[in-house]
Amino acid sequence: MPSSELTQAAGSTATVPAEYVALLLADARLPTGAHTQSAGLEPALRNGMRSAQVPDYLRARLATVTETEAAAAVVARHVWLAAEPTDRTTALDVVDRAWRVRTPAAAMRAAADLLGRGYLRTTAALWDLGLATGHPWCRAVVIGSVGAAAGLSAAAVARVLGYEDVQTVVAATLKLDPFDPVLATRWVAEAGAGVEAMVARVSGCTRADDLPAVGAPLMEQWAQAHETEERRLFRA
Amino acid sequence: MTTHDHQTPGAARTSLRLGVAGPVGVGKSSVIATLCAELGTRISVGVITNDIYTDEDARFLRSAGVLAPERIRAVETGACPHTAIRDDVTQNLLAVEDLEADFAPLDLVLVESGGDNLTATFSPALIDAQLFVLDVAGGGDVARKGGPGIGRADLLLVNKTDLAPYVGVDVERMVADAERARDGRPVLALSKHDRDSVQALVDWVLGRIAALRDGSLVPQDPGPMAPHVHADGAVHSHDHDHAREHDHDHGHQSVGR
Repeated sequence: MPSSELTQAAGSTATVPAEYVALLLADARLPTGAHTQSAGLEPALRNGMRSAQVPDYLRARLATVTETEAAAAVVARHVWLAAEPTDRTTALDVVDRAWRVRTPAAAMRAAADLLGRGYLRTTAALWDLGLATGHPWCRAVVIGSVGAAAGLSAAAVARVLGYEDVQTVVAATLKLDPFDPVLATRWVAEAGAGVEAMVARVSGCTRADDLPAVGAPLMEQWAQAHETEERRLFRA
Repeated sequence: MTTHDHQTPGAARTSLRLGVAGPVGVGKSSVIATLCAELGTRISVGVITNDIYTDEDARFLRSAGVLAPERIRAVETGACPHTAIRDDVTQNLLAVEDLEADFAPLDLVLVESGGDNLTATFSPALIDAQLFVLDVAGGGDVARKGGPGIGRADLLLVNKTDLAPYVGVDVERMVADAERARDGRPVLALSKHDRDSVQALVDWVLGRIAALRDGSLVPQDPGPMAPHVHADGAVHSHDHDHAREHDHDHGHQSVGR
């Protein structure tokens, strides 16, 4: 398809089934630069965590940093739908800041901003998101906005965030410390129950004040240390 | 989907994005250091490195003292140097755009690949032109083996020619092999100790910048695939227009697969 057709399609993709869009957003082949990220897994292994502990690591993330991010995406979706198109940037700024103050590690914020730019670059060609350019939007706000524009439910938006985080961690584990990928896939499948529990906790969030403030100090410390680490393979 | 009107048109952008690809150890960082030393005070230059072991190359370039350290930035590739310059160039594009914005107006952005294998070349969505670097120490037969970068990069460098007597390589023959593999595209035998060869490289780069600005530079994809041969014997590479490529039935035979 010539790219002129792609450009014309921007803003008119609401007819694409929401489930299809959810698959698109969660697909590692979506060009967002996500392959440069390990969701904190590389610094965790460097600091002594063992690969066998990855299922525990996934549970800890789903209860802390990932829950906060997914809640921010759910609220961003709600705000995007509720606000007048001209007020969207201002309303989403509040959500973005609420996520930022609940994410104390600057390295984690920087990683989410970089991913937000990557997602925005790709998805803005498909949907008219109305997000002002020129300042970073965290990944949660971008995915929440895409979810709103594409007709995803709050639960679907939260599930994309949860699944993405799980797969990022497990795929990075296979890169750094390879083992049977069948076992890795079992970890991803078994994390599904934890993802759904997280989805249930955050799906009802509608206001920035609803965002949980649950920290993961050890992961935050590892993320910060990774920023100045030599010979890292993943950005964060 | 491979027309490139989604990126900044060359006419509007004045900075040449030049990729430097080639296997590990051929001297990509050294070539970039040479270009920075030659051009860094004449024009405005920035560098993005794609290390496999992240900022090793960026550190080398900063320590070489050939360019202000803040103009040299590293992009991590998640152990996928091939992906980062070819199929998902997002993080590199963001880094290039940031560099261009922070040091506007830039004349030249050098993007160094992570030293992947012979098949790794840059997407034309990321760069305007690309160098592929080999060296004599890697063996005189490498150029003959071909591959997309050797065959169809905008310029092939045969580096470290000063080492040829020590590794038993006939430079003239290696260059002749490369020229045969490249169907008339340029090959340059380079040594940083050979003034004339360095000047030829500098002139080529300045020529690319001029071509970008007069609109005559069209980014080419060397392709990941080998050129293929039609049943009538005509050889085709994949650098023709993709929109048309899939409209006709090739009926071709692959070679070497």
